[in-house]
Amino acid sequence: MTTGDLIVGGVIALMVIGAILVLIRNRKLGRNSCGCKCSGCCGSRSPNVIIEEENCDCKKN
Amino acid sequence: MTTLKDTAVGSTVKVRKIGGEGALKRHIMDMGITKGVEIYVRKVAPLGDPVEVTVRGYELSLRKEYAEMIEVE
Amino acid sequence: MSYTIALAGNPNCGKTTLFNALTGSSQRVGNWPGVTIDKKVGRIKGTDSELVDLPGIYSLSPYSPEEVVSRNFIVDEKPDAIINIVDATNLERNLFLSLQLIDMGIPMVLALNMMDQIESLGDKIDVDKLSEELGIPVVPISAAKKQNIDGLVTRIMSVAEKKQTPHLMRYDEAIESLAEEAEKALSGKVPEENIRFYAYKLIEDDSLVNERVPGARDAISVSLNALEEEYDDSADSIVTDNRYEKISAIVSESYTKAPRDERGTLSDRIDKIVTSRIFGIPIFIGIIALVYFIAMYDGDLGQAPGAWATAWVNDVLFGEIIEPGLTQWCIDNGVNEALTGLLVDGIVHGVGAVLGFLPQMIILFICLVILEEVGYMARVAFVMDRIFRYFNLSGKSFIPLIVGTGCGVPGVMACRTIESEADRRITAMTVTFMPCGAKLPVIAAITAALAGAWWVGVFAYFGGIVLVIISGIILKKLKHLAGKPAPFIMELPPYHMPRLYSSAKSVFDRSWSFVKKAGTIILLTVVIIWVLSHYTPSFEYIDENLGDSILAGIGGVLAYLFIPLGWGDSWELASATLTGLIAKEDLIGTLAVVLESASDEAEDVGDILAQMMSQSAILSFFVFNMYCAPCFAAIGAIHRELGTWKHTGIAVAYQCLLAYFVAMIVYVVFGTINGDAIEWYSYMFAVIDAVILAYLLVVKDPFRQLGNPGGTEE
Repeated sequence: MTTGDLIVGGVIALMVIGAILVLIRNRKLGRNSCGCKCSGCCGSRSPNVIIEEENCDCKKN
Repeated sequence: MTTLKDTAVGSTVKVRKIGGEGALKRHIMDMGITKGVEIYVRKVAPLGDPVEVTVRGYELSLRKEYAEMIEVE
Repeated sequence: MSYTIALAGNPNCGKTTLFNALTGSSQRVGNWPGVTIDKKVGRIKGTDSELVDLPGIYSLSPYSPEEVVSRNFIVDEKPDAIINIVDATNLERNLFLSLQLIDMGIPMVLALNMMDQIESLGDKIDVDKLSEELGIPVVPISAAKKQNIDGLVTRIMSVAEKKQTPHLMRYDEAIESLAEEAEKALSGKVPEENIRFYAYKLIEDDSLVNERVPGARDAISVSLNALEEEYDDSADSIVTDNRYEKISAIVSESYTKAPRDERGTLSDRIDKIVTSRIFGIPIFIGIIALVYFIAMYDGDLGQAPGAWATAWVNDVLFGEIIEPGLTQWCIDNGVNEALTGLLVDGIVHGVGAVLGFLPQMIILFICLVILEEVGYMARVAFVMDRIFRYFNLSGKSFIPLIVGTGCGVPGVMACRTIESEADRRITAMTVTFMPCGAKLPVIAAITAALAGAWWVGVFAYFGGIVLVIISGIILKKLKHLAGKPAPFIMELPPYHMPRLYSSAKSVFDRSWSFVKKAGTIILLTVVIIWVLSHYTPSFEYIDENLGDSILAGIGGVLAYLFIPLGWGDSWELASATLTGLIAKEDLIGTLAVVLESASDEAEDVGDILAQMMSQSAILSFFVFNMYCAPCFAAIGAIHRELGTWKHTGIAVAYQCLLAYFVAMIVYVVFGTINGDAIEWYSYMFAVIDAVILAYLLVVKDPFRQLGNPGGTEE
């Protein structure tokens, strides 16, 4: 095990753990796989598309 | 008997009568289309349906089956 | 004191925004008995009272479940007061409901919403006059901007406490005297406070009222017939006309319009072409093509900036600078070979391959956001409506599809707005045929693999739409999914210039999500894939000949399935497809990792694919992955929508099967035209697939349901 190994191993481990933590945090906040709040992918919903706002119920799980 | 379906784009017509019955007729009236009201035909979608009109100051998009029920002059 | 307040109003007038503003997080969702409509209840902030959200309705006729639910709630549950939310910019139509609510005789306040828009239009509303004419208090608000919500709460509380019933409206004398008669006929048989509502409904020959009080209509039939003769119209028409006349009068007295500027007509003129019979669809195709052309073109005429940037990031930034640099550093510092591999060939190369598409993604996002902001997407729904209806699908189904081009998860959830259950389920199953944000890098990679064929993106979109339509046709033949599409009335708001801040924010948000996803899900997938592909089942590290790895074993089994599609027995392609279940971008990431050692030069995924397979095989790989099962998140959303895992499984299986069939046909057809070598069994399968599809499409009752006369009649 060289120092190089430790550094690289450490960096990789950090990235992996970091990624997992972010994903768990997203789960709890109800974010969908786009990474935004449930109703619509942030921005893909324009004010001009008439959708009843009543369709955001990702909490209903 | 001319109906809304046959009305040209850009023209304004007056409703003479609403045909049909039951839910369909009710729906049309609930949207504000009643005897004597003026309808301005704004556009007709490609392939002829739906028809977009201006009625009582707001815009509405009507299916062919509705437009057929509305007699105009 | 704790009151029960009902919230009633038209759909799309900001009712939900108001409900949320009034109740905050205390809302609970349940069900109205007997129907599949959500019932939302919440405590009004700052009070002890409950707010019940009635479904959005245009009128209190007895025809739709939403109206019936609302009527019955008011009559049977007897709320202490009603808040009628009205869209001030659409006053006449909204007041139609208001007048009927007023007839109910229950304490009521009219919340005049969207006052901010009235202001920006330059119009003026005389609130006091309006209130006087209607006979109820009117409170101007802006729910979206949270203006005067407190004023509304104070007012409704006071009205509920004082039991301040509306001053009843008077219509034409002839009708009023008929109404008096009706009230006499109904007296004692219906709640006294609501008697005027019942009287008018009786005149209108309302079926529910006739049920409740049979024979009452006969009691007034003499005067009724006289009235109908006099006006030469049916009673319900007369009443409706009267209401609108009254509304007209009220509105003209209280509403002052500012002189309208050219904007409205400019919208009209644009729409005349954009939604015209001849140009509408070609324009749509043209616009999508233009968007992809700008983002991804790479051919004889040069390189689009997006394509150039992506190539630079992949070949130069990562290929010549970062990766060799890192590798060198690792060698210099004596880092273990496997660890180096994991870092450079796995993580950096894999994630980098996906991130490399960021420039093209940004350009795409800019274009798409502009289209949405300007208002074009609503026109698209309008244009597609006819086509959809021709195939017996509701035009309303198109909106979830549009949402689905961003992300499939909210797209599936957007299906809730479709009333017809059959349509809702079918749309939920087919939303993921639309290319979502995650599929964009895949489109970009395949475009590169096919030497800058920007039409790939267009193909993905329209292929998706075609598959949705095909699915609609086929699935509607299943007995429990048949049904007539519900009527769809839609409003087209005027065009407006894209708002700089919100557009920029949208583009940024989407781009940042893309980056975040790369750093999380894709990172994790890539790590796992690298490990699985660089170790044999006996845990030996291998650098080349990855065909001996664990992943190759797994992928190899799956690869047999895809041989007829022209993929060869490539475990790499099969594994990539599998990781597509985690995230569609993983297709790129996985391919980058497992194909990396296939060439010594740093080449991006597109180039490697182009070397590995014929063009038609690349296309079949693309087609299959575009339309097969969506990512787990989307599958989860489908499950939430369809209800059972059994149905979800069927939906996913259907998608995979259809994707396979279509990919097969595409492979064979394109390959033959292109002159690629195609095996005999591929031809055979393609023909079988085409026959099966044709059979399902054409034959009236392919599923042989007993006692089902074709299924599409209703």
